[in-house]
Amino acid sequence: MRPGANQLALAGVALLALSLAGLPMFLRGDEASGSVRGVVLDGRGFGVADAAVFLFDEGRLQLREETRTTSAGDFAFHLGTARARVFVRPPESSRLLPAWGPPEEDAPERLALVLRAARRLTVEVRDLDGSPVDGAEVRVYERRAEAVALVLAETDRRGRAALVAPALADVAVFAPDEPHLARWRFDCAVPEEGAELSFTLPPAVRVRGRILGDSGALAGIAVVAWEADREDGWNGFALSDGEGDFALPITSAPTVVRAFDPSGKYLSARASCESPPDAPLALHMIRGSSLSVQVVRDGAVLPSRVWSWTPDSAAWSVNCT
Amino acid sequence: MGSNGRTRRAWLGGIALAAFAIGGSQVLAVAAREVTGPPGLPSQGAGAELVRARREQALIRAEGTVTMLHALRSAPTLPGAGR
Repeated sequence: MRPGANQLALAGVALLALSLAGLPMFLRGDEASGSVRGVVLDGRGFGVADAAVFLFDEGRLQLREETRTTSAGDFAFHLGTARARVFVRPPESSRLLPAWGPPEEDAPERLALVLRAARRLTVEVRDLDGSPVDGAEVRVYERRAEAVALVLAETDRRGRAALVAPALADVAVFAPDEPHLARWRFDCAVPEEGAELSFTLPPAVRVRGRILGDSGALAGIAVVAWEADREDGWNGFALSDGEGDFALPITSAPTVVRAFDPSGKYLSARASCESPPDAPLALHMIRGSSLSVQVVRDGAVLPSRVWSWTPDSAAWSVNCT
Repeated sequence: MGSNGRTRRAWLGGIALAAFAIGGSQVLAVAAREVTGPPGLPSQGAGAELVRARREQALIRAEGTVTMLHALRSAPTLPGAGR
């Protein structure tokens, strides 16, 4: 053989070897990046057939893939995703609740999602004049290890929405028009025979504001507005943008606006207003000092949630675990 | 002699009772201070505020699940939807 032909043959062999080695590596990589599988069960341990199962990328909050359970309740996804989170919506006839799988970091290799019995919840939304509010968004949340939204619905022309809910739920209603004022019912006990809740949405205006730190505007700060002394009067919340700006719905009633730093670096701040302010609100946040807390019992360190109180703003900081 | 012994026991009992009462009141005082809180520490109203803050933070963290449920409403049929 000529030297040129030898080189060509060797290059061909190398290419073949690379492709043979690369193909399994590629396939293995895809599997490792998240082929999610599991089973959907009812409270008695029977598989739930024909439930819609959705695979989300929780990092990007995007829907990646959708499938249905087999007659035994099994499901599997083929696409991988970086931060997989599964949501199950059972058939309406099953009278079971939807459920979220655990966040990927807590998820076992094979998921087992147990669906609990659904309870009927009817929500009626009216404005201050008593007229029904059409198109208000109703959200049913469940708070267990973490809080999740389970069900979303919209009110009809009669201002009513029919949903399913767990035995203990947080229920929120958001006005259809800007600035989407909210009203809440926390820790609602929903009996087996179902429940009906009535909400009243007062008019609201959008109030703007800015979060300022020691060295300028702060981004990513959570800001909440509450009607003073109203248990259900959580008007809404927002995150400050890159300029430190935020906008919140505020009614004509006295309101408290609080800001807290989800990263826990800044101490919480508070502002009060008797009526919607004409000028943008300005909340100043002070950078807190680092404090290490260790909870020990019988010599063993206990994982704990720790909160800190800021007397100046009469507010709690974000809890750290 | 018998009378002396009873007297001594009565004195000792009285002293023990007084010590217990003083010690108990100290314990109660500390417990009461923890309930009401000295100036600068959270008051009773702060307890309700903590409940509110915990709810808020949990529900704000749940906003991601709201966004994902919104995505379900507007999503076209995705791969594997038919099983």
